[in-house]
Amino acid sequence: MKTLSRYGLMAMTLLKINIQRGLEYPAHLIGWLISNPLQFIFGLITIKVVISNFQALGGWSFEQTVFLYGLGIISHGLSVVLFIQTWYMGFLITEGELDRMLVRPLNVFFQFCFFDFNFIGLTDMLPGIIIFTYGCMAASFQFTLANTLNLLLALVGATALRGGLYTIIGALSFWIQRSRQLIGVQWKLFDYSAKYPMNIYPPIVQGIFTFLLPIGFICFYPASQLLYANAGFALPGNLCLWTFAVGIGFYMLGMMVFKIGLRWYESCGS
Amino acid sequence: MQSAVILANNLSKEFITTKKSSGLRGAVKNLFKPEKTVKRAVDHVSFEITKGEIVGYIGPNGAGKSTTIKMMCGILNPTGGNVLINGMSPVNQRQKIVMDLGVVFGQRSQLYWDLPLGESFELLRRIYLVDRAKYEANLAELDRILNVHEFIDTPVRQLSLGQRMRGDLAAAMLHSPSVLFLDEPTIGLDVDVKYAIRKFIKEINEKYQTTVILTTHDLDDIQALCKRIIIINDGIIVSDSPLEELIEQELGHRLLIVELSAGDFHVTHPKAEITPLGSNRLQLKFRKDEISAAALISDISAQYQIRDLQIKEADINDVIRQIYARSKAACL
Repeated sequence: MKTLSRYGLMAMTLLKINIQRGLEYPAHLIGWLISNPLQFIFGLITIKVVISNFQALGGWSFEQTVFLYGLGIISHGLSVVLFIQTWYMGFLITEGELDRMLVRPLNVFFQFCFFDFNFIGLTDMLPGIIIFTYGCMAASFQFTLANTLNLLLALVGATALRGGLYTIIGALSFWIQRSRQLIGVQWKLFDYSAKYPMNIYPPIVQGIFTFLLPIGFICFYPASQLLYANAGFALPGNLCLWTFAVGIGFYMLGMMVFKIGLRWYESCGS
Repeated sequence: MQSAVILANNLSKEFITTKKSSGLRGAVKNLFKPEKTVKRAVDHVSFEITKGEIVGYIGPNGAGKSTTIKMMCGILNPTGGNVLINGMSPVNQRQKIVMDLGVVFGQRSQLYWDLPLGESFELLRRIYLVDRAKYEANLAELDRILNVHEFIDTPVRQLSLGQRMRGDLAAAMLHSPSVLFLDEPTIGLDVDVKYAIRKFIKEINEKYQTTVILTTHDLDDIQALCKRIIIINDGIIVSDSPLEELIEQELGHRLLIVELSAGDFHVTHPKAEITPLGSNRLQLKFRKDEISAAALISDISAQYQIRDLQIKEADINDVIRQIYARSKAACL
């Protein structure tokens, strides 16, 4: 209990410091505020073009796809705020940056997650919220109590799932030293799987993205349930709850891989 | 008998590296059949350090100094053997040990790059659970020697190397650790800052009985601070003894250099080895235990008139070079 409150206090302090640190570079902040929404608006245009030329994607209308896309960007934004460090893990490892964390009397994974809390990532959230709100209205999503709860479960789950997967891929750097290329693959993968309904892909691909590398849970499965849209595979139970469970599970798996990897950590020459 | 603050027992660390063959053919070969070589950076190192000691841990580049330090403060896990800090092992009690440890790496700051120094200190205060009153007192004390208040509101990235290093040292001592690891703390610093840092180390050692382990290439640091030095080369400890003893045993001799007024001379002495240095100057190499410098000078001045003289004490640089060379020869 004492440790928990200590870590809680520590997290608050770090949050404050990181916001302060983010404001040290106002130009940087403004740059992201402009460039990030642009990126997603182009994403939206792509979807519009694809759908208006090829009709509905796997039974999903444009409005439903916007809902899906918006949901994906929100959890993307949250994960960028919370887990962006995982993208630089290769750098942290080869440059011996973890040394600093290892000589501090705090859990290393905690330090890893919170010392570089990326408040700039909130700029990713903004377009996400706008696109999602539009998607909600266009696809006439009902904010009933059950729907809202399911949506929250799905968002928490999707964010944790992204975090877990990023951590696992990043932690591979403990063994292969360099995971930069993998990050690129990860990006593409997440981009394609979160932008389009997954049931447009062949069943084998759907299978991989459901059972092996469950990125289908990031937004496709929860959105299909929330909008009563085609989910491809008929999975049993509440898909939003599944997303939550899979997310927490993968996050814990990520923590474990990180912990095992840390034993392999070789620092770097003086 | 004081108990050991640090106890290393057959401590070893191996790194596996793949040998790279050159050329395209080599690159293809590396891909399919990598040749792995095991490099022992630290090889069965054992020593015991008691409370309040300042120990110089020296060796040429790549000798295994930093690797040893990193194992002691829990950054690296040993491949073999073990090390105990205050009776605990960094492998399974890392957090508990580092609570009472200060670490400074000269080559890498432990401070937070974008934060003003003071914010870094405040953060460290929370990390190490130092209460406010104690923190203020510690900071005032550290400031007295290191003058950190001059730049306490400057972001760390804007500090000069000397300021940064002073900041790093203060940061390492804020929680009054009982053991301080300093890995090349004076690297690249000017004379003034070096002096301030030496003074700082000396004071905290005297005042708080802080145990200090210092690695450096600047042997003046060693001479100014350490009573004991451990020399490591190729991962093996080649010498572990008090500084004076080491100099004594390595260089039992001293040098007397005399300048004579007469141009025409022929000096011989049964207890000194004489080399002419030109322009009326002579170098006499003699052993302390065979003849005193005074006796030698009076023997010579009985024959010739001495215009000037100079006695050279053993130079620690020579001692160290000699030891490095010998341990290298032993390896071959």
